Formats: sequence, structure tokens, C-alpha cells
Amino acid sequence: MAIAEDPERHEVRALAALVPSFAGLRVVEIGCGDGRLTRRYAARAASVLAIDPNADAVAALTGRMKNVETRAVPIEELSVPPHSADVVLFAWAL
Amino acid sequence: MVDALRSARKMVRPAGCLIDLHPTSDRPTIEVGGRVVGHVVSDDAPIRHAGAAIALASAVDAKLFSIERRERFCFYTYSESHVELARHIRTHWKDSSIDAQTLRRTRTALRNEPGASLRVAERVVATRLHPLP
Repeated sequence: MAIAEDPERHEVRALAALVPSFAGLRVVEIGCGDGRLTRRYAARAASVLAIDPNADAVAALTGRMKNVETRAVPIEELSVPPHSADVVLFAWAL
Repeated sequence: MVDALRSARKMVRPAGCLIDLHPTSDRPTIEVGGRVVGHVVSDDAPIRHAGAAIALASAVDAKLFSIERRERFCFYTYSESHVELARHIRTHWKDSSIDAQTLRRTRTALRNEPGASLRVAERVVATRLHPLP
């Protein structure tokens, strides 16, 4: 075993308590890193725009899921249409 | 941080929500067999995490959002080796480490209790917020 992060899935359970279903939702995720959390919820979302200023980390997520677009930018440089997201998710990013 | 929340409010549709997950300012604990043997050392992280809570509270005070629901949980990171865990924290966590004394205590605890789990525990708060008009 190498490193195992949250094998009990406490994080995804807490997220599910806050957003019971991501089905059909348009999500903007701030601070996606390498996509550890993204991979746990994104499959059912309509779309996910996942951003992080760490380009190396974002590269690990890029192209892994067809409904996930990644950008290596901080939120200050992110341009999206107003009121275009159903969920804005700060993933350990504030 | 409040500026980031203002930006997020512009992105989210009126019926949507903002979700924030961030660690609390409690120091993460190093645990062997569920018993605390030390803490992760970081000068900056407790201040940063407290700042996240303050930013959320400020956004609520400024009537950008209202809090709909809050959950708390422990995020555990497991390793079979104290050396590997220390390396992981040093390379993947921001400005954090396990000091030599805690590493020695961890090694001793693992020797005294073969097969015991080794993990670091972070307390995390997750909040759902509704954008206000």
C-alpha cells in the first residue's frame, strides 16, 4: 500500500449530504488539484470546469473524464458567463 | 478570499449553490492504532484555514450568501510507513511537515504495536451556501 486518502469516503459522504445528486448539474470546481475529489463526483454531472493554479497537478486530471474541462488558472483569472453554474465548489481552496 | 467568494457568486445561478470544504484550524493529528502520537507542524496552515472560516462568515455578513447546511468530518490519510507519510506531507501539503520528535514517537508506537494503522487525521468542515440576490 502506498498512501491511501480517505478510504472511508467521509469526504464524499459529506459532499453527498450537501448535494444529494450531481446529475445534470454544471459545476465549477475551484482548487481541483490533481482531481482527487473531482473523480469522486463528476461522473454524473453534466459538465465540470475544474481549475487550479498548479499546472502540474491539473495535468493529472486533464483528459481523464470527457465531461471535465480543466484550466490551470487561479479564480482571479477565470472567465465564465454569469450565472452559468449550478454548483461552485471550493475544494480545500479558500 | 472574500473576493473569490464574490467571483463565485457571479458564476452561480440564483437557484444554485456554493459548496466549500476546508480543514479547520485544529492541528492534524498523527495517529497509530487510533491513538494520537503527535501533530503535523505548520506555521501557516492554521492561520490559512481560520482565514477561510472568516471569509465565509464575512460573505454571510455581507449578505452575499446564506448558509443552508454544514457537515463536519475527519479526512484520514493512511500509510504503512512513517517515512512515507512524512514524505507525502512534505511534498503534497502546503508548508507542513512531521517533526523529528513526532517521527521517533511514531516509529516507536509502530514497533510496539505491529499491524497498527498509521494515519493523519484532518478535521474538515463542509458548507452549502445559497447565493442571495
